[in-house]
Amino acid sequence: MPKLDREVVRHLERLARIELAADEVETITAQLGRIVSFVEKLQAVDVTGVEPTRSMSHEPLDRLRDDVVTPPLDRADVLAQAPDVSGDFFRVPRIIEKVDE
Amino acid sequence: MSLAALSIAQLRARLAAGEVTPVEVCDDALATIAARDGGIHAFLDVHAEAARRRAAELTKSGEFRRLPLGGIPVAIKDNICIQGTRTTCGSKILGEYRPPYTATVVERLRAAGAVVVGKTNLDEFAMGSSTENSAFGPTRNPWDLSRAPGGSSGGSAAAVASGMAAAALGSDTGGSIRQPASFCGVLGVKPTYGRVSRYGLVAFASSLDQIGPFTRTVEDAALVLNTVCGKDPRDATSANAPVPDFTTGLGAGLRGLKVGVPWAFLGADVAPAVRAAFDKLVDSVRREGAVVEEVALPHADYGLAAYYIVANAEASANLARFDGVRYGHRASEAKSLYDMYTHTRREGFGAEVKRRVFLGTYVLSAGYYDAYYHRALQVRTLIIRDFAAAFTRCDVVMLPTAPTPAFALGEKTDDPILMYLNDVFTIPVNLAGLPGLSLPAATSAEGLPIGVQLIGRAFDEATLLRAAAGVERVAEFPTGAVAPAR
Repeated sequence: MPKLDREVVRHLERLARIELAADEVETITAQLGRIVSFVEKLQAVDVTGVEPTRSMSHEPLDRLRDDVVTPPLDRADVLAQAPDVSGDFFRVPRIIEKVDE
Repeated sequence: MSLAALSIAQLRARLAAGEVTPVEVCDDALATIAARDGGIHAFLDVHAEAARRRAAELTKSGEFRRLPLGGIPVAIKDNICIQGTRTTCGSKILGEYRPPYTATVVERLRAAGAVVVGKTNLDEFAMGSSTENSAFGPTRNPWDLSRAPGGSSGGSAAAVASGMAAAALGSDTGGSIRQPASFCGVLGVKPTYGRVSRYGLVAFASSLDQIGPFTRTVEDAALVLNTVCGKDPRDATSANAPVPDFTTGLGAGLRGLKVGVPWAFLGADVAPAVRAAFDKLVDSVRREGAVVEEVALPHADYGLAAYYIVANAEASANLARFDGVRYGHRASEAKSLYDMYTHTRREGFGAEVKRRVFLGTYVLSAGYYDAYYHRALQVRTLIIRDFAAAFTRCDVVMLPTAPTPAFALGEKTDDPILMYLNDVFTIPVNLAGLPGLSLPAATSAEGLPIGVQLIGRAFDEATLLRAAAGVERVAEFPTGAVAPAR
């Protein structure tokens, strides 16, 4: 297994959308390394031909509920929780950068 | 004697006889919280006004007499939503989040007449085994305020142990109900996967999470389970299995019950006091006429490693929703959407949550998926098969709940793996989706409760509770005890 180093952690920051503070990077790199060596013990288990368990549900999950209208969440209650709204929309920082000609 | 020391069954008897009213019971619980919670910090929010209002309604209408939990004060772990009141998950990222809906379990408790007295502390997003990972400060163990109550449902366990509520709800992903129940000397039940609706529970690991009760007696646990179990159309994973009356047959005793003990799994890492209490209880159970047999769980030793892959993979996906857009905290200075996400999540999540999201992201990322995640799911299958084989030979499996009694606050916070080892005996049960409970077995020389764990067949909580009621009668720990104020 490739080593879990700072470069891997930098990549994980992007995937997980969590920017670590400078002092956190070192700590988390060391701790993740130890946790990953701990879970390495699974490599010793003989799993030849064993099906993975992907769902624990005892219920058929492909069964749809009856097609009836039920009351949705109250729009004002939902929007009241948002950090920034504009009318009935959630507002976020600019997504498309302005292109200078 | 304060009403706070009474079990649900005892309170029900007094309420039915007209000796007390729901208002008096509620006022007593709120007074106990006011007197004791300064030192314990089990509650993040006390819903005093709403509780008094509900208790007054029940008293006035008299309907508490016909309701199974009429007038009973209960506390709710703060990852379970109640409309219009703060739900924090012990995290800064949820800020002052007030959910626009109420969890099915809370609706069911209310419909049964229960009075919600407040929301309890937890490790952030239920990630932890000591309630020290809460952004709002730790909860203390009512039996020894210098020690942790266990976690992640430490607030709920401590509230029930100290008489601040007769019952509480928690959630259990790898032991988060059973381990704090063991540390705090109370009953804690993790029902079968799918037994209880999770609508309104903030998800941590969706293939493992389950809501369950804390109480001080087995009978009380049965009463709460009667109310909260059952199919809910709003949770597609909730099971259609029939819900029997769990209070029937609790007096059946242990004669003829087949108890399986996986001695080989007990290992060397169990504290001597826990091992001694366990061995003694096995002898008592045998003397009561139970048949104690050795069973094998050869893959249970790998449970912890498999769990930290599966649970954190699921957590990394579930916690993606905390993005600063629809609710909770948002970083203020970010100029782009990407920066807004990454800064919001840096500021909002604590160290343990970050560790786990990073680990989950790592094991799911390209190149590592097969080696870690796929293999962990295969090991999960092997653990499920181990239990299936064991249950051809016994009715319940008996294990310690945790390897040690309550440890000191701060003792394990610097070493994540040491903290994870708390859950070595509880995690296999979640991986297999089975029902399990912890009940107080004994008291250590330092006066700390020691729990024992019983595990049952899927959807056979009835047998599990009957066995627990039998064990409760022979256990050294005084049944229903409340931690004395100190």
